[in-house]
Amino acid sequence: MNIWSMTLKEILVTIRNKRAFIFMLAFPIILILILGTALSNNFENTSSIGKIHILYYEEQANSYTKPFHDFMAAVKKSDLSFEKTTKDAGKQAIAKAKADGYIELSNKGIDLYVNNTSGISASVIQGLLKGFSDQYNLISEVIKVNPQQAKQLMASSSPTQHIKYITLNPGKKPNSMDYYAVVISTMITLFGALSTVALVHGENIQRTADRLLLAPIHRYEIFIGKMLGSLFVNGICVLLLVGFSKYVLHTNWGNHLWIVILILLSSVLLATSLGLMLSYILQNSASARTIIMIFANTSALLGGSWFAIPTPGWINFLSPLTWENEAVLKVIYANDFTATIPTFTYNLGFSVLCLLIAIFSLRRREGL
Amino acid sequence: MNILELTKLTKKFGDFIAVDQLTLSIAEGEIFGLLGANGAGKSTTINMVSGLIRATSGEIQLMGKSITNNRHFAKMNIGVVPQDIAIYEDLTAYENVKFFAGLYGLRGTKLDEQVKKALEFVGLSDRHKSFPKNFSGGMKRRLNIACAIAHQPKLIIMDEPTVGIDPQSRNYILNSVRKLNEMGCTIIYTSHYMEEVEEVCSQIAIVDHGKVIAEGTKEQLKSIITDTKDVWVEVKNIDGLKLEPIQTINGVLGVEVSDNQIKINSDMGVNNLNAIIQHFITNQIEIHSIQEKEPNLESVFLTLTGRSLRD
Ligand SMILES: Nc1ncnc2c1ncn2[C@@H]1O[C@H](COP(=O)(O)OP(=O)(O)OP(=O)(O)O)[C@@H](O)[C@H]1O
Ligand SMILES: [Mg+2]
Repeated sequence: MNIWSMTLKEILVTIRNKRAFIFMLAFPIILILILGTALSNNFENTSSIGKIHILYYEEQANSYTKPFHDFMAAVKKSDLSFEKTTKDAGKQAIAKAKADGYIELSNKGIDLYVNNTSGISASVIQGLLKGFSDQYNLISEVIKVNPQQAKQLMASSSPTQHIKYITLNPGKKPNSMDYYAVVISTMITLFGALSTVALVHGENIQRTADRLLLAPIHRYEIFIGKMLGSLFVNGICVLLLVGFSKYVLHTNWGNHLWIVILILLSSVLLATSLGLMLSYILQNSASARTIIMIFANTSALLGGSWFAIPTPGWINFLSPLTWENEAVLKVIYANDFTATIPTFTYNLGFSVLCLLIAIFSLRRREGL
Repeated sequence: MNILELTKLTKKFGDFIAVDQLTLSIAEGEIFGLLGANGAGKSTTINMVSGLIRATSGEIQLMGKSITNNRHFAKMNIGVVPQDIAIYEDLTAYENVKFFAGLYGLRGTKLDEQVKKALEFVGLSDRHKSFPKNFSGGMKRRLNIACAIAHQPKLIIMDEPTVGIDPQSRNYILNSVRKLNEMGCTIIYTSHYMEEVEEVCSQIAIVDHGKVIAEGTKEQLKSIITDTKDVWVEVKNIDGLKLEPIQTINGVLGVEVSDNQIKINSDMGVNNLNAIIQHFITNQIEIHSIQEKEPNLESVFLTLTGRSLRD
């Protein structure tokens, strides 16, 4: 019951602190808008996919013929069209960018030719084909055809001599607004640690720490109350941010919003625990705040919050944001959950460590 | 019955002894004044009673129970008005009192009632929805008191509750101290202001260097120093007056100057009025009036500690 009073009080106190609230809400929204607009050239601009025209060629009748026709029938929607063609005409059409994809079926497997492997339509075709080949356990290859290389390609008989992309990389790509909505949201969770520090040190500044110690409330009740209050407020802030960017800015948060929110909340837990630890081991709130600012800003830089990092190295993975952004973007754009559990593990591990240190230092001191 | 019993209470900060074997009994129903100069050890003593800091040695009994073994009991029965205002700026007056009272196990309508009563008591009912940042110093002090009394403690400890406030708020606070006392609370009241202590306290202890050096009603305390008197000399112009020679006059214990008045505290048994007057005459300082006054608590304090209560 005391914990609940404490939590409630912290929520009231934090919500009334307008400066902190503006920082946690207005600031990230402005950042998303500015970065999303200013840096949009760094990203694929097409967010809607037009009609996709696919050519295909079958080498006589082979083992894939039946499944492939079933597949075509299944995916043939208004914006996907298939057209039968000849071997050379198909490749040429791709080289001249007259079609979005050319599929060649032979007994060896399926070869996909696209003009630009990272284009949206190419991604869609790759995604579809991956689904198909996964289903039928086929070998599939994607071959990129550059217009400059067209002649060379024509001369060659085997497509395998050209650049191959064995791994199929399905999925849409975020536009800049989508990207920044995600990375700014994960980033802002870290700054939540500042309000946690304010909650703990506020008791000393306002002298209320003594009054709490006079009351029949256990120090751990105060600790837990503060933690819950801080989690709640910071959690609400990030939820409001996601809601705003989804419904007002219409950014893409994918089809698994709950997973994304859980990842964001695990980041809130990390920040709150960090804030608790720092406010209990450092009596000076200025130094606690400085450390948080350094931590959050470095993490943001390493984690791609300002500029997307195409191939993160080990140093980037020191930042929780690298993990979170990768996990969230994979969930949104590839329905891929492989990075989710490692991210949870990182965030929970970090949080537990901070909380243990906080509790340890709480046990050693006389005051709050 | 004694509500509070301190026995050989000692607090050391490193080598420094802030409270030194302090022994004190406070009877139930008293308004007990703790009088002492800056650093005498008043707050330190209070902090040990309230459980905020641990005593180095000695024993504290509240209503016959040792507080070290009955922490919860002690906390429930003590209300502390801290020397420094301790309230949340971002909570309204009502929310502040409610939050703290809520920590003492009060719930629901009972909580609401007691919170309102406490606010009414300190005269903040009409401002219960306001935030303390818009309060005057006196109002903050009053809210500081409300936060300490809403859980209806038996013993209320007020550590300099009237520092830095307007006379109106001060009167309000002194009246509420009396009212609380009439309602059955025992009150420990520390102050620098002698007049306040003289006005409200039924029993007074003078603390110096962590020790009780005198204790009793104000009449009893004054009787301790009936062997001193104050001679007030009002002069036309103070310029050229040297104080040191006055101090060397036989029987003089202390000299104080305010405006054109010179207060000379001296031994009752020595007849030195002539010598004092002689001093003014030889220095060619014109005397307007001379008066002999009864000792007050201030002079009691000065006599006992050799220094003035306020710096
Ligand atoms: N935590 C501490 N560490 C070291 N010394 C302390 C500590 N707390 C108090 N003291 C010292 O103990 C002495 C008594 O302090 P205390 O606050 O009890 O005095 P006080 O009578 O309340 O004075 P005031 O009228 O100024 O409030 C002072 O000399 C003070 O400097
Ligand atoms: Mg004090």
